Amino acid sequence: MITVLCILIGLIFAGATFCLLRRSLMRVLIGILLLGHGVNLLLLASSDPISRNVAILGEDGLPTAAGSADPLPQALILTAIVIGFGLSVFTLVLARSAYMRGGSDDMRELEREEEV
Amino acid sequence: MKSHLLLVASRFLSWPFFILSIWILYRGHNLPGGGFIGGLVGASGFLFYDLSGYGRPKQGFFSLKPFSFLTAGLGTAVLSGLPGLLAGKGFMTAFWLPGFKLPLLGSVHLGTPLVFDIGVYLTVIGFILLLADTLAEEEKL
Amino acid sequence: MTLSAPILFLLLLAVVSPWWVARSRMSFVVAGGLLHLGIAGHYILLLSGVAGGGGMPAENGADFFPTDLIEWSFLGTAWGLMFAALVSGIGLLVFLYSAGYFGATPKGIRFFLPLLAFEAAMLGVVLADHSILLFLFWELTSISSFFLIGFLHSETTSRWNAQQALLVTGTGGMCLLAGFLMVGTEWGTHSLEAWRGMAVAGREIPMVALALMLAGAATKSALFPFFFWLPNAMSAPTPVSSYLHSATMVKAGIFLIGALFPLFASSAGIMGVIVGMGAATAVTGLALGWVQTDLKKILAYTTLSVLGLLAFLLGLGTVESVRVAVLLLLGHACYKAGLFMAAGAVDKATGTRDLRALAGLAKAMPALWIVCLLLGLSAVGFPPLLGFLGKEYGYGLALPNKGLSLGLSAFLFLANLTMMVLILRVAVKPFRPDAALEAPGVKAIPKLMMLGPAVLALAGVFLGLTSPFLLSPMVGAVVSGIAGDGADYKLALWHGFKPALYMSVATLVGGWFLYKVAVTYGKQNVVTRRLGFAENTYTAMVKGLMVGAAATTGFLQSGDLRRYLHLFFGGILLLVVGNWWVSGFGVARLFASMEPVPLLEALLVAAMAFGILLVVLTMSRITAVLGLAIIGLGMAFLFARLGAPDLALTLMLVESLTVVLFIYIVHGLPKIRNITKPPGRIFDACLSLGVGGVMALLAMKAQSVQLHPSISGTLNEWSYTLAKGKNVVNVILVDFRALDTMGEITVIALAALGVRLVWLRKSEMKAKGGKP
Repeated sequence: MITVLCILIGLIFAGATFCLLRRSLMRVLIGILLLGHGVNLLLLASSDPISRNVAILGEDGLPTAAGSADPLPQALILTAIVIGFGLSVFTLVLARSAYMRGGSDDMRELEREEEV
Repeated sequence: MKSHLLLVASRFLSWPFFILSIWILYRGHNLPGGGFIGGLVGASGFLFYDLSGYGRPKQGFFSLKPFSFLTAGLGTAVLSGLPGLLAGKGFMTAFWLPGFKLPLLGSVHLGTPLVFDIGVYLTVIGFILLLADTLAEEEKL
Repeated sequence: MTLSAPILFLLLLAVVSPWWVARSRMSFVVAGGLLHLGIAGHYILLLSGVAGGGGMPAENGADFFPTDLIEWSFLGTAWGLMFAALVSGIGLLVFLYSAGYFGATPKGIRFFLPLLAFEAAMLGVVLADHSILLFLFWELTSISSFFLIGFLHSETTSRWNAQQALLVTGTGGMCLLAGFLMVGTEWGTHSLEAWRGMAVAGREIPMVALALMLAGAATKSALFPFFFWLPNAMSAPTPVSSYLHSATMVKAGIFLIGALFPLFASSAGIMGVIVGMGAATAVTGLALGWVQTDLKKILAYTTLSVLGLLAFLLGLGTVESVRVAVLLLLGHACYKAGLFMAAGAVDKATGTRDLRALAGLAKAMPALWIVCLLLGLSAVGFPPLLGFLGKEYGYGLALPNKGLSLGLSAFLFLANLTMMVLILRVAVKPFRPDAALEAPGVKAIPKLMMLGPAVLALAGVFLGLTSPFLLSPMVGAVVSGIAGDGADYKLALWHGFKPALYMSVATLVGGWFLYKVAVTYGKQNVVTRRLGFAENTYTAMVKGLMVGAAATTGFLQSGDLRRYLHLFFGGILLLVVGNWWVSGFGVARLFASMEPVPLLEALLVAAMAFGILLVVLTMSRITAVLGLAIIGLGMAFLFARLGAPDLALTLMLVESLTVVLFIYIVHGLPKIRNITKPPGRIFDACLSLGVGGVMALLAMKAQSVQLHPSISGTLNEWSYTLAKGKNVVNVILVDFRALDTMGEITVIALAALGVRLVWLRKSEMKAKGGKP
């Protein structure tokens, strides 16, 4: 499973990088959203151990099965998801406002406007 | 697009969603759930009103403004950290009331982490509502 | 605190000086003068203690200033204390002279801050025993002298010259630091005294470190080819010139060569370089000084040649040559500071420093004339003045080879001859009693300005006459401190009828004759133009730096997002892959733990891969949103399968919201376009695949790397016992790492505010009727 997970991480990062490198504003936004997923998955892949058993303790307060999932990366990812959501919303709104004001969706044109 | 049907439905659905969200919030300490998920679900109780196209009620609980939630959330979270500070043990050290049993809920533990989770819950609701309100008002421009 | 207390006092006085001078100038001058007097006396007493055979005063303030790298430790070597005495003694005179020079002008109020800071730093340089501490003081001298040289900051040349001095000596300072760190790391100590001991014991020193430290000394002491900043520094007010160019700033390099003498002496090559640099500097200074007409410039160039001679003599490395260097240094410190002050007095009185416009001042300023005559005689080496000793002993030097000895004598003879002409031009030409008075005007000068030159002139006479008794033990202690021998040597003014005496007489006679004959000056010639190369190189380098900086900034900070990302991702690829290339990746362990993947998950991953392809390739916004939704929900399912129900729930909700939001505002967003041309797209695709590949490999490699023991087991253990919660993830969020979550909800609230602000701005513009 871990190998598949790693390949998936590679795919997401490749896609995100390609989108970020576009000059089209829309693609860059997509790239930003995609990159968030890649990082979350990377965090998950750092779990030790990677397991299918949930990180929830039994009635007696002890781990139910040996090798339940690593809770720490999950806590980090949960934080990352919510922050990522907040920031991508902000980015989307900001990008739209920049586009509507500047009238261009070309990243390079937008830069130039900034300088003017 | 205004829909009477949705308006009526939202009156009936909002409270159950809201109670569900509190349930998710409460059980988060022992089972999947917690402030984040609870907040996201709780916000949907409000969003039903937006869908109807008539806007949220002018009075009552569902008329609360997003900023009230944001400030209440952050304030609650900070408050939950103070007991530790006052006890000289460092900000956000957890304190618990003695556990007791309740029908339906079983054994209950109340403590500052729960209060903190409520802060998270309120902040998330405030965030979503502010977002929704902003976009809705923008539409009217 | 016996050694460092004066430094702290001076720094304190420096800090309060602007207020004090502005309130009450008289009381400041009196208090400052008394403080200087006390400090100079203090160091002279310490010096005489060391010269009398007592131990060196040491100070180790490890408790006072405890860090790993720097130690507040000082050591009063004879060489260092001699400098300290000169710095504080001449400092006293310069202090009083400045008070007279600036009078009650606004300039006088701010002048003392850099001057006193500089003095304190200079004392620190000569007394510090810890190399990094020495470097700190060294830099402080560079910085404070920058403010002193550029004191008349409203003039462009003044600023340029100050910057030049700072850049040259500052670059040297960096070299010095590198050298210090190399030796300190290699030898395990930063104490200079320990270094000297280890070098004498024959421990090997990295050649590069020696060269770096020499570079520091050479830039500070304006040795060839770094000489050009020193004459330019003449744009400073005269008190500064007289201080910086006599006993202090420019001698710091010479001091360093002396202080680290055993280190330098361990390498014949480095000593050869010092000798060569010294000789070249001496010749350069004289050649350039020959054509000058400005009194201060001439003095600056003679200073340059004396610095050259000092380096030259130290570089020769014998006990005798070191003794000559010490004597020359003492004499020079006294007469050169006096001559500078006298030149400043002439400038103040007549309003000009141009040699050609001045003559016959003796009648108008008889006292200054006598002082100048005495200083000049000391400078040209007239017995029995202090300057005579250095010259006489120089002629007495012998090298092992007869031919070399002869060459040395000839070199010294020619140098002294030329220098004498230059000195006479400054000290005698403007005053000549037999000529008629020629000057734009003669004003009275403040008494305080006469004090310094007069005291130094008398000191030259007094120290010269008493040298056999007073100076012998001190010079002996200094020389033996540097070269390890010669402590018991007795100085004498009369050595009998020997070649050295004949040469001294010949120098005096020849110099006078040459001075009479060579009256044309002020014209540049071939030599002086050629020597301009050093400064031209500097100018070209400064300009090149500016052009280079502009070009680099233009390339790196182009403002184009793609350029940044290309550099960023390309850099990551190069570094990571390069590292693997060098250290090996260890692929063997990668696939060791392969396990079959359940069909459901395989399908999930395939769907997500399809989603990625969709968002990368599609030209439709709705399709892109669809692709994002597929990826997001796929992630959520993956989380659910991998024991993370909390994540799955949260992500599911967040993804739904994102998709709704995206659809909601997508009509305000542009369509997807392909702007980049196909070759650029292909390049980007390759780069992206590279990045993806590296990330995948990194994730795999991370599986086999565990830098610290995992804390998750402990978290599991504590979750119920300490935090009374069975959902460990939630316990981490709201209890163990609650502060992180606190930060997170703050970010969320801020993001909400940000969205709101963007909206407010828009509605404002709308209200004004402008474009949204």
